[in-house]
Amino acid sequence: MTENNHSSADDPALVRAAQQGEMEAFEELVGRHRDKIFARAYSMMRNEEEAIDLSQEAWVKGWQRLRQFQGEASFGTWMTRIVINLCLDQIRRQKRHRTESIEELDEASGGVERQMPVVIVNPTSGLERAELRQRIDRALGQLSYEHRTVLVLHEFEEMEYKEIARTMDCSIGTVMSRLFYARRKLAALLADLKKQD
Amino acid sequence: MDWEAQLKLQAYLDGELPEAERRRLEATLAQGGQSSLLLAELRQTREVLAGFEKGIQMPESLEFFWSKIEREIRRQESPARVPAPVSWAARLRRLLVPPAPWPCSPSPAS
Repeated sequence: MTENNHSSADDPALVRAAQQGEMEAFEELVGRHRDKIFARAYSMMRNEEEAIDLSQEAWVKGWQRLRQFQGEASFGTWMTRIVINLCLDQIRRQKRHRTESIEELDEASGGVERQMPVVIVNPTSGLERAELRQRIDRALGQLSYEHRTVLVLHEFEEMEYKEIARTMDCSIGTVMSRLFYARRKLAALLADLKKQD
Repeated sequence: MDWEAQLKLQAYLDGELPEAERRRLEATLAQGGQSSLLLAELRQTREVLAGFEKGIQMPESLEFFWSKIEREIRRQESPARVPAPVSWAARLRRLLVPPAPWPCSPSPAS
């Protein structure tokens, strides 16, 4: 395959070429999907450098495991799952080195989300897209790893409860409770940010 | 609203509630009240998040990012693995921090 062919080829053709050892085809795949893979790592880790390193690691693993890719899902989805697993491993490693956060204690003791007042006014109305993104970014950064991960897997990766439970090695009940907490906390944080303006 | 009812409401929003329970809940929701408000908030949060990741871009150029990936792939594929490059911070640490004393070395006093 020539360079011109690479840019016009679809993903399955590039994957086949890369499976034959064509690195240029793999480079084209990196070019097409790198933002999505980085975005997923960034959403989970909230740290740019870590997200770059983990997405790089994901691409190296992707190349090494390319022969295992059978095309059941799209290449982008397959790569996303690799980076998610790497992020989860990293989160588990970090978790072993830190003490429990207040949020985790809240969750264990029944959770503040049950008593939180409902946010009736849309806290993001009238905001420019960039401003809204910034606000969500700040609010997501204030959630614990556990709550943010469940939210990311559900809202961005569109995983079902049981799939999240399998991925995070916890019960469906825990997934539901963490997701509920994350959503309610996010709504409250966005409302707070609006009040601060 | 009790805890179980709140989680059921969320499951309804996410399309994870069985048909019979979904119908029962819809009947409750039709009466308005606290559950309708909570559902509206949960829905709003979901809508706010939609498309959030689309605007996130990798801060490194493709050329630079790819050069790192390619180098790492080749490093891991080479038969005699070349050790990973040592960061500047690690090099500096090596220079500044004196090596630990050899465990069996005799003390100057002896």
